[in-house]
Order: sequence, then C-alpha cells, then structure tokens
Amino acid sequence: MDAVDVFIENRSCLDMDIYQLWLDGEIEEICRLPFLTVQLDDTPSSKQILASYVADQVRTFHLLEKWLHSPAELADQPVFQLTDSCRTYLLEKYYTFDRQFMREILGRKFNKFRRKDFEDECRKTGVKLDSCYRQYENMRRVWKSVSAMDGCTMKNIHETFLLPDQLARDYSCVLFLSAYRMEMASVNLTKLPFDYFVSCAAEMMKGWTCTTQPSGPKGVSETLQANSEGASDLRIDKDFFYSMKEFRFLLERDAFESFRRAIGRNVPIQAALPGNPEIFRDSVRTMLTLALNVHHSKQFRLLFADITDKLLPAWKNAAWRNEDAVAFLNGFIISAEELNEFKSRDARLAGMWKRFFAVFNACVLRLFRTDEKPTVEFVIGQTS
Amino acid sequence: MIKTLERLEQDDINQAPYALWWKELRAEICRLMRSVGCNAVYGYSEELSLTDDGNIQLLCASGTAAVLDVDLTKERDGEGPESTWNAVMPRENLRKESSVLHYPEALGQTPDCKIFHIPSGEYSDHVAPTSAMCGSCRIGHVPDILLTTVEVPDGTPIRGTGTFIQAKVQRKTKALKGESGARELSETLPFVEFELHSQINTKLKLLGLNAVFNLRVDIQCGAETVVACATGTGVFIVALPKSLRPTVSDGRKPGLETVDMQAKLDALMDQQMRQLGLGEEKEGEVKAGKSMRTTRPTMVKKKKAATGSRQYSKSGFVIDLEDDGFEGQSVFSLMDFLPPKDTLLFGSEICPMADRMKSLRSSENVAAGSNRFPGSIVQNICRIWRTSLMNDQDEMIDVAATFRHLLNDVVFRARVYRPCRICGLEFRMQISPGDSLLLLLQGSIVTEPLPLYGVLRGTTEVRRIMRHAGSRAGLSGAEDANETVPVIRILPEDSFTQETAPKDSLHPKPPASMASRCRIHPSPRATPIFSHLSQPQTTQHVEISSLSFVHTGTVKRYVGNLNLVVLRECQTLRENDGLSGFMQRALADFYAIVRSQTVAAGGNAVLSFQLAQVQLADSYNQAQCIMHASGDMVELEEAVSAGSLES
Repeated sequence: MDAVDVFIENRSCLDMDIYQLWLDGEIEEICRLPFLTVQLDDTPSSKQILASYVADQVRTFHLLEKWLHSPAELADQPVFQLTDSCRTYLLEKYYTFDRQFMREILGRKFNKFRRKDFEDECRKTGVKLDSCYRQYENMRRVWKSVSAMDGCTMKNIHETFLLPDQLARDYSCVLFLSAYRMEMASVNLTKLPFDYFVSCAAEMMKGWTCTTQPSGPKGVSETLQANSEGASDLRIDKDFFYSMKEFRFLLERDAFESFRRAIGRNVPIQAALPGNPEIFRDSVRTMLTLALNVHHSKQFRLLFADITDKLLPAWKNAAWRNEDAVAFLNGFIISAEELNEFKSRDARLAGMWKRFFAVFNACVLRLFRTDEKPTVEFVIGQTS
Repeated sequence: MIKTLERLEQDDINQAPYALWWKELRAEICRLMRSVGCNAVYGYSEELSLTDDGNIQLLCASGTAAVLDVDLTKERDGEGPESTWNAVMPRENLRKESSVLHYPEALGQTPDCKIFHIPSGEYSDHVAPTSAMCGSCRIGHVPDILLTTVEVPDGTPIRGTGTFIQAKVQRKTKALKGESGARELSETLPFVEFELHSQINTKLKLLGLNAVFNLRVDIQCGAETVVACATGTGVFIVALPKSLRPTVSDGRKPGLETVDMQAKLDALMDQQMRQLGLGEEKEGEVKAGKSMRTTRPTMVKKKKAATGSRQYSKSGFVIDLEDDGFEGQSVFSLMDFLPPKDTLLFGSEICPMADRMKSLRSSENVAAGSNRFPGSIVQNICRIWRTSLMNDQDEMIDVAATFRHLLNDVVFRARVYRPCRICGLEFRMQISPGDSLLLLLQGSIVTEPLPLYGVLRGTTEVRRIMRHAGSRAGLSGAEDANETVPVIRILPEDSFTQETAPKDSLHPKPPASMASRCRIHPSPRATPIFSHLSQPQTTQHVEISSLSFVHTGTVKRYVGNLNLVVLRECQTLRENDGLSGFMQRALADFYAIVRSQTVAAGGNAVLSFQLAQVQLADSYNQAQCIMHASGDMVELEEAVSAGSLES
C-alpha cells in the first residue's frame, strides 16, 4: 500500500529556492536538502517533514509546468491562485537560460532533440541534462510562436511570453542568429562569449532587417520603406544586401587608391597606428569584399567567422588598441563619402553605406575587443 | 453517548430503521441532559461511521448540556462534567465577527462566572465528584474540569492563551464482524472513551488548564481496529479552580529518581505554562482561591503498577502508569505538542487569546492610524495522509506519533506566515479496507499583524501579562520611550530580528518581511518569494476559509450553499507521480472547482468550508477517489478597515 502524503492550500505558496533547484535539474540536491537544514530554532522539522514538503513543492511545479509553457494561460488557470508578481517571477525564472549553454547551441537549427542529445553540452557547461533540455525546448517554443509574427521580435516575445525586456532581447537575438544559422563553430569564435554575439545580433537586427526605419534625410530605397510595414526583424533586408553590390566600383584600382588615401587623411592618429600600409590596405579590401558578398546567404552565415579569420588577426598581430580600431573604422566610413566617385553616383549610396557599415563596424569592434572592460561605445552617428 | 447498532444481513439497506435509531439516540441524550440537571443541549452533532463491510454502524451524538433561562435571553447556568460531554451555554449568540475572544476586561464587563456553576438542585449527585467554590464570585460551586462542544463564549473569564488539546486512542480488537463483532465493539468503546477522557484530563493538568472548548470526538473502526481521537481547545478559566500540579511519588520509597523526574516535570510544565501566559499569578489577578490549594491532589506514579486504571480518592486522583520501560517516558509522552512561539494552534474557531491589536489601539488611541497594519491573511490548508495501521509484524503502529508528526508538519508549513495562529484545526479519520488510516487535517492559518509575544509600548496591561516573553525587548522599549511620535512600536523579542532589523523596521511589517525572517530564504534574489501572499492580483481571488466568519471585511451577502461531490479516477498512476501526485492533482482541481463555482454564483469567498469526506481506493496502476465538500458561498466586502470594525 502506497502512503499518501499531500498538502493543499488555497493560496499557492511556492518556495522559490526549491523552484530554482528544480529548474536547474538538481534533483539530488533537492533530495539532500542541505539548504533547508537552516531552520528557525523552534520550528519542528524532521527529515520526513522536509521530504514531504519538498515533494509537494516539486509536484506543484510539475503541475504548473504546462501553464508555464503557454504563459498567457497561466494568468487564467484556476488551479493555483497566484499573484501577479509571483507569476512574473515564475515565468522569468523558467525562461532564464544559462548563457554558457546557450552559447553552445547558438546558431543551431531548432530541430526536435531528445534529452540525451544534450549530453555533450551538459558535460561541457556543467548544466544538468534536464535543465539543458528545458532551456532548449523553451527556445524552440519561443521560436515556434514568434518566428511567424511581424514587427519587433523583442516586443512579440515580451507580449507572448510576458518576459522582462532584457530576457526578451536576449531571446530575440538568439532567434535571429539561429534563423540565419550563423556559423559559430570556427576556431577563433569558440572563445568568444555569448554576450558578444547577442550585441552583434542586436545591431544587425536594428540596422539590417526589414523593420529598420530609414535614417537620415538622404532617403533610402523605396523597397525598404515598403518592407518596413509588417516585416519582422528576424528577416534580413535582402534587397539592401543586393544593392550593396553597387559599391563594386570602390574595388577598381583608381577608386581604391583614392579611397585608401582618404582614409589615411581621415584617421587622425594614423601616424601612431602600428603596423604597415599593407595591413591598412588589406583591411580595407577585406571589408569591402565582405560587404559586396554579403547577399550570398552562405557568405552571410560565415560573417562572424570571416571577420575573426580574415580581418582581426592582422590587427592583433600589429597590436592595435581599441582606440586604433575605432579611429580606423570611423575613418573608413567618412572617407568614402569624400570620394568624387562616390559623390557622382546616386545620392542614396551614402545612406546605404552608412547603414551597412554602422552595423558592420559595430560587430567588428565587438569581436575585436576581446580583453575587456567595456570601453567607449562606438557611435558612428556622432563622429561622421 | 455512543451507541452501537448492528445490522445483520439486511437485504435492503434502505429499509434499515435509521430514523428510529437516531431517535433512540436523541432520547438518550435528552435523558442524560436531564440527569445532570440541564434543560438544553448545545453544540449538538451526530456522526456515523461504518465498519469495513458496512454491516456494523457506529452512531455517535454529542452535545453540551446547559441550563437555559426561561426567557431564553440570558442563561443562568450550565454544567456537568465527567459523566457526559457537558454543559454550558453561551450568554447570547456567539459574536462571530471577531475571531479573537473578547476578554471580559476588554469588553468592560465584569467577568461572568455564572455559566460555569454547577446547576443546583436534586440532580447534584450526578455531577462532578469533585467540585470547588467559584474562583470569581466565591458563591457558586464549579466543577474542576469542564469539557464542552461549543465555541468559547464571549466574556468568558480566561487567563492566558488557549492551546490545542488532542487525545488519541487506538485499540486492536477481534474481527469486527456480524453480531459478535458488534458486541465486541460495544464492549471496547467504553474503555476507549474512558481512555480519551483520562488523556485529556492529564494533558490539561500538565498544561495547567482546566477547560476544553469545541471538543470533537471521532471514533472510527476498521476490520480489527478502533481508533479514536478527540480534539479541542484547552483554556484556563478563572472561575474554575486552578488545576493542580501533578507530583511524582513512588509508591514504595522516595528515591532520587522520583525527585529527578519531578524536577523534570516541573521544568517542562513551567515552560509550557509560561508560553501560554499562565505564569505565576501577579498581583491584581484574581486569586484562584487559596482555600483550594489546601487539598492538593497528587498524581501518584507507581512503578511497575498493574494496569492503567484510575480512581478518585478524596485527596485527588491517582494515575497508575505502567512504567517498566524508559524512565519518565510515559508521563512525558502524554505531554501534548506545544507549538513554537509565533504560532498558535487552536481546535476551535474562536481563539482564546488576547487581542493585542485591540489593546494596543485602545491604549494609544490610534484607531485612526490603524490602517497601517496589514490585514490578516487567511490560508486554508488541507493535509491528507494515508498510512497503514499495521506494520510488518501485524502490530498496530503508534497513531499518536502520526498525529504529532502531522501537527509538526502543519506548523512547519505555517512558518512563512509567522506570526500566525492556526485555528479550526480538525482531524478526520477514515479507516479503509486493509486497515489503512486516512487522515484528513483541515484548518485555517490566520496571520497575526502583530508579533504574538514581546512588548507593546504603552500597553501596560499587555506588558504585564507578556513580561515573561519580552524581558530583553523590554530594555529597548525603555530606550524608545522618549520618542514623541505617536507611533506604535513593536519590539520583537527575538534577537535575530533585532539584529537584522534596524530601528525603522520595528514598525509592523507586512508578512513579506516576516517571511524573510524565516532564515530559509536569506538570499536577496529570493525577494518576491512569499511576499506574493499579501499582494493584490489581477485575476479574481477567491478566499476559502474553514471558519464561519471573516477576518478582513464583512459579509455583504450570502450567495448560496456549496455542496460538491467529485469523483475522480486515474488509470495511469505511475505517470502521475504515484498516488500522492494523483491526490494532489485531484484536490487542487477540486479546490479550483470550488473557487470557480463561487465566482459563478457571484461570490468571492467560501466560508465554513469543510472537506467532509475523502475516500480513496487504489489498486495497481489505478485509483479512484471521492471528495465531498460543503460551505457557504458569500460575497465579501473588502477594505473595511480594522479601525471601523473597532467602532
């Protein structure tokens, strides 16, 4: 005969410490109960009482889980009487993910995985298998419900899953990177933490996707404006990438030379920049090539890898500091606009140039600054 | 007043003369009532329990005999101890708006002791074998112990705080089947009852109390077992004689062991009585009458005495305890469970305790500012526990330990609401086939806005009563005294509160911070943990209370009666966390149905909510359970400030 041991309350009283352990998949930890042994002096407690207390809580969380999967229903469910703050807290904790684990699965397609498929990540990050699975399933769930929506993904997540802004932003960035299956496994990238990619993705979503509002008075393409209605910021503005091909003229010999010289003039501390003109020239050429080829989806996928493999090693070899990089990248943007070849062409080129390289340079800088206290933010709008 | 009726191979259950049986029982009650010189029975209830195969039924009826005044508006007196479940009649309808008993001093009345007097007249030979002069008026005679089934009437002269009293008896019998089984049962029952009574009696003595209110007795029989449990709220009534200290003596020779045990017993009793506010009397308190001390009953403890029997003697009474086991074990095992500070346990709905808020307000005249106090929270709790009555060796397990464990468990769960009281505690038992015992514990946790112990500044009266608890806090209270701000300061006695709480936080804190005092959650990330209990929520909240009154707000209207039976079945126990998981799910849903029904009827609370019955059957991978609950659906008017209630 099984023993029955149940405790029911009218107001649900949830122990968030146990909740956290449960989320972390620390089943053994819960059973060992070391955290509960610190008690009020005169509270009667015994192993049995604690065990039934914990069992009750865990069962409650199991029952709650199905509503945590569809947060909108959590508010309406009649079974547990929860207050708003408690609900928010439950959701936030449930959808919080381990950044290290998320870094591991970044850029992966959201296929159906089984629990044991995460054994590698589990070993590498120290996150428990159950927790890995839950985090992955969370991400997949968010992807499923949000990917088809229009508009700002972060807002969509915030509204659908009632998550705090910061968490929603992280989710939208991960979704973006995964949507384009960005290459994350290259040798130079593996060392970079999750947050770097999140901020890169945030920049891209701000600048390169269909929702991007035309900035500046110079006007942007008509198609862009048409697209900005009802478009998701999970979708790259393809037309914009295609039109980047128009900058091919900069690779022509004359234009390239004058461009390079212009940069030389515009980088104020050029003399102090370590390294030789070759680095300078190669960098410019690489950046232009990347920009021109970005419309190939394969090239776009490799963007991070290309930056770290082709662009940054030379800078690092020359021991550039952050300021050097900022100065160079700023100079890069300004100089192009001064070129006669540039001015003689379509007026909207300048807008496109800025739109592309503002984001691109931010990413480069983000990936370059590996040491790091956060330094001065790279703000292109002010320097130009 | 228990009658066993048996029904042998009745073809048609419906033809059984139930009505007749009940009538017979009621007649019996009336007869008993008259025999103790009373003319009414109050707090009357009837209960029925069946044995396994259902052919023996146990019909119980209990009530409190009382003497009603002829004009039915004022009672004259009531009484009757021992021989029956006795007597007393409330002066008027219970004032159920307040959950806290109004002490006579607070009501500005002289304590009314009349209701405790033994009815005078020709029947006096039936009543208590021992009686004494009334402690308040010194005119009437009062019994030395009073057991009643009613709630504590308002204005009862009570000192200290009441507490939960419980007695449990278990008996293994021959197979209770057929006619012989019924006879067996009827022969066993008197002993069970007697044992219950003597347990209650002893427990009262050990706690220094002298009356039990809201006594409920539940007797259940299984195939070969009888389990009985009595619960109630023990109090100390000033009118009744002070219960006398048991003394330990060895029948043959006084020895070191006896002295040692006496010392231990005394220390334990002192501690318990101090906690209940029954410390040594102070000046100004009504003396319980010196005369009575002269006859000092003794509890004689004989080692290796023959059986557990008890007889009255002129000097008091003797308890023979079989004690060949561990030293002192027997007496100490009778010590009832006394909850920790900041948690009070009551078997009754009305809690005999000092209304600290009220005394605070009346002393400081700050009724207007009383809104600063957080309203109390009512939390309905329901604990279901099933265990086998027999262990592997086919012996009965110790039921008392199970009860104690459950009480401990509830106190543990209530720690987040501290300081609080758990009232209306009720145990329901159910013996199912296979001699498994299903215990259903219900009650309501009510948070206290003020610490239960410690000094309230400016309330001299309270301070005097509570001095024992707040000696340390008393010092800081003196420091605070020179502040002119008319702010109520509550000085918790617990040292750890003081160290964590700077001066400012001495203000009454919402339950959130009280929760944080439970050092279980020291981490800052755990901020919203239990604070949600007091916060508003957007979805409609339905209050469920096992009490028949509300604590915050008033009842606007009654919207209907709730009577709900739910049958639930599960074919996949293993996928549902086993039997416990199934029950938890079933009960959680059941509560949800109750709440939804209430909302649908236009109410927002359920009062007098009782989970009357839970039956559970399981085999292999499936289980069924029936749940039956009743209550009153009401619409509450919230936000009636405590201040306006006061006026």
